[in-house]
Amino acid sequence: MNLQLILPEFAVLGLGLLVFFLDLLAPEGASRRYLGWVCAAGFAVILAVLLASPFPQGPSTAFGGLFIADSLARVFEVLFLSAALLASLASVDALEARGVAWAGEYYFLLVMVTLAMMCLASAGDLLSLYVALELNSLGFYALVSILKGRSLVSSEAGIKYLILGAIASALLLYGFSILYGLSGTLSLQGLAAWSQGAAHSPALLLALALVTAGLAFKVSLVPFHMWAPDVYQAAPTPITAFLSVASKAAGLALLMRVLDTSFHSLAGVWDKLLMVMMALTFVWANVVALKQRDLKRLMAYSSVAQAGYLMIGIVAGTPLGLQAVLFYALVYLFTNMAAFQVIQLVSVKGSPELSGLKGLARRSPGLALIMLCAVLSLGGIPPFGGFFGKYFLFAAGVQEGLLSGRVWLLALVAFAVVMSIVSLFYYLVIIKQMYIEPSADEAPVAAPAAARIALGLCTLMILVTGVYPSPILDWLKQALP
Amino acid sequence: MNAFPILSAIWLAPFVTGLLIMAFVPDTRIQAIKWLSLGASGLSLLLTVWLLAQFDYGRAGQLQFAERFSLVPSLGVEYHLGADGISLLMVVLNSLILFTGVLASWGLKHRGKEFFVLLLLLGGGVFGVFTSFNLYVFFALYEVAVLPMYLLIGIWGTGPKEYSAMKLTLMLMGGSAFLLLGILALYYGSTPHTLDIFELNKAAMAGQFSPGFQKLWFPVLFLGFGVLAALWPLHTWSPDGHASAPTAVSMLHAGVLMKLGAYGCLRVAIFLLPAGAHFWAPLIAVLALVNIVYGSIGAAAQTDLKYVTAYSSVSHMGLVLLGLATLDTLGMNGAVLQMFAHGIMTGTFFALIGMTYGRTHTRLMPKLGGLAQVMPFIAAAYVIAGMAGLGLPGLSSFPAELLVFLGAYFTQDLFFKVVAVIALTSIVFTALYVLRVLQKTFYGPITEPHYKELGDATLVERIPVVILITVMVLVGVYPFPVLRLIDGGLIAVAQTLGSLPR
Repeated sequence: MNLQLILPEFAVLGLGLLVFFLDLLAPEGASRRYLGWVCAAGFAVILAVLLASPFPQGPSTAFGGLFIADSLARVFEVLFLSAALLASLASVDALEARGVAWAGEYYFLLVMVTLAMMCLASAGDLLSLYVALELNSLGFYALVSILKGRSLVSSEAGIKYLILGAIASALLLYGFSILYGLSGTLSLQGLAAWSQGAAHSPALLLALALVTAGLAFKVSLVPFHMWAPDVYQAAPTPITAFLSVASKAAGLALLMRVLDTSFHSLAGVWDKLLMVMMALTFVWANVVALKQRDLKRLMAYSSVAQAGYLMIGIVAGTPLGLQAVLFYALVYLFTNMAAFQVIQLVSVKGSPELSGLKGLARRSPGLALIMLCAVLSLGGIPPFGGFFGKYFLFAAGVQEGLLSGRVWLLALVAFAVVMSIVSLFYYLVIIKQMYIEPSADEAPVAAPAAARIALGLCTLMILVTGVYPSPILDWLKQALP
Repeated sequence: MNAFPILSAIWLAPFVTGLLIMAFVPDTRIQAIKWLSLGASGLSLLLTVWLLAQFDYGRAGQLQFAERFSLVPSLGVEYHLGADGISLLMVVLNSLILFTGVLASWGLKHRGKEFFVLLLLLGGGVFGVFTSFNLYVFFALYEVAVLPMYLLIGIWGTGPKEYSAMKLTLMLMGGSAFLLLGILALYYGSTPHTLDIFELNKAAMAGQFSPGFQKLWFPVLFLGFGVLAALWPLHTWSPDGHASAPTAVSMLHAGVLMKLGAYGCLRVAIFLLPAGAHFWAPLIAVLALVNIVYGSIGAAAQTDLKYVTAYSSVSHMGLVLLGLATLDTLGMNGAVLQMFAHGIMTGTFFALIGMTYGRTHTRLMPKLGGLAQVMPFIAAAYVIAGMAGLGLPGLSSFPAELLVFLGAYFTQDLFFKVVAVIALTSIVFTALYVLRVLQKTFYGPITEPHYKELGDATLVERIPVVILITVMVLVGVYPFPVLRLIDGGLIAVAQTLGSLPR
């Protein structure tokens, strides 16, 4: 067995242990602010090494097939590490502002959750997949409720997330057990071979439905999105941001591994289920978002809607579609991170409501401009990354719909395009608050150094992905030929 | 071929200046910002004049000054600029309106930096659309040109500005959502897949788009652009939007952006889907007819000067769309000329209304009266623009409207003859509302005592008006060079349409 394959995971584990011991060694009550910088630096180094090294040649497995190291996993590793880097930077000052007592635990969990997601993307077997998924979920349950004692809703959100998450895990596990009973294998490759000739028995359909539902929870598709608004609202903002991008990306990895790879031959079965959920998502998330007053709840519904767009590529299932999913996930990562970073800075002293953004263009023109870029990118407006990302996804959907004659997919893309106009309304409302409404408070919003670095990185990527996406596309094409 | 990328320079001059002002000039240095804006739009204007001088009029139907490099080869995305006769004319129109628009905003005080930045971004985007020949870049710049409107109206507008801004943005973006689908369909409908307008045209001529395909996607594209061209019943954003917008924004919007819609209808919908155009032309003609008649009646019923002009724009854009719907060289020549003429005329109108409003602080006709006594320059200019509006010979709208009516009347089709005759009735209503505005606002006794204290237009205010009226008269008296440009540009369209079995 080649242990080199799991070097990135080991590196992240090492970082986690480092944080753990640094926390132990620091005297009680001392500031643990520097741990945020340690995490950020650690993630940055691992990320840089990964980006510099070439893609793994062909899929190689470790631990008897439990672990796959391939280029797809590598792309996801880059995604998770970027998100973790930005989340650490955002946390440095956010934790102090909220007076979180468990900074050591916070950063340790942050690293462990990242490790779990990396393992998730590399899982080659339903068993390792499930273990990684639980490790990831448990870490997030604790992170979401880390404001315990400071904020009442925090514990509530943690419990809610835990219960709903447990139900989703149960669905998934039940689906897996049926699959194992039918096929006699847990390995994803084995399932792919088996599903080629599998009869469409009711048991198989039930298993696929259960698995799809469990995964839909992870990426928060309607009707499995109920946890999102409460959790997003109550969690510390850097965790909300991290959850909204990294956890969703982990869900995408699972969808690609399980549905698009292992059960590709049964696409005709699960895609209908997914398409129904997409249609519901476009309607429900976009319409309910119109009524939100709390910024983080608004962003929660927005991110539910964004998950719907991502599903276009998953349902198309073509190489182009999967590339589009990865590209959009990347754009979405930087965009959402930027938006949440601004929200966090504004809500340190101001209101977490939409009205807290009032007059931001006068108070801090730079922050307002970054938020403008982020929001327009989410709305799919050029020249920002979200535009090209959406265009790419829609193109993949239209290609598959038109050339393979999947009329329903085509109709769904058309519906998605139309509903994106509804979403533009609430994004414009955010812009309206910042630029049109006057503010009572004229003082500039403080933006500490860590936040500035994170915002700068995000803004750069939002623009690069929008104006000159070619290098990133080439990189993705190498990963997904 | 020219080595200097002049078309890129034309659109990037205002666009980059806007970005630079945003990044580096503090908002307290408003004079510097104004001069920079004027300089950037002036540079575009000068470059346009140079473009006019360099342009090979004998080959107006072909793409000149082409620049291209690939952006995303796997999806056919390419930066491909070029200009044929029609593009060139639209670039001229935009540079005139942008330059005069900056001048018309010279007195702006509230949040000046953001205003000029957005204005320049918008103007730059419009240049880009008119010269893009790759549908992706075309579409992206189209949205870049539309979106600043939201803030421009929302921040600096009057009346129900936030409502108008939201309505306008959502309706236009809704239209562009359909465009996106249409563009993707064209891309995947052609072999090899391409987004290049001329390549797609070749694909259409080669019969790659089946009649069923064309009948399905033509309305998607035409209506998508039609929203911006204020095609009835998708025009409702236009009166509210124009009435709420600040002066320069109304000028740009009615003067140029609406033309963007009509240009898209011609360049994308008709040019790429000719069989679809033939199939749907009667319906478009009927909708355009409603535009013409309903717009002029609507204008006659309004009392707010901006609403009158906005409805008159709906009516005049109807003429453009009717001209396009004839699918006949004569009518389409008229349509494109009308795009230009209307842009100049309506730009003048909105500039003058802005000046009047800046003095009287009302645009309601019942409250105005006798202003010609205190502001003779504005009144005289308004009379000239009004005469252009009702199609007086010697001013630019006359040849345009004449060609549209003739084009519609001389088609083989009885249907179009009837449409042309009904459309002609709008001339009566147009005369009615134009003369009513002039009489109520500028003539008669002065209604409010304090109007006697008001002054006439200042020098800075006079410059844009003089420029626009000069163009109006020049094109009206001697339209033939402009028509040569248009006619050359339309050859390719006519060939495409003619290649079809009727």
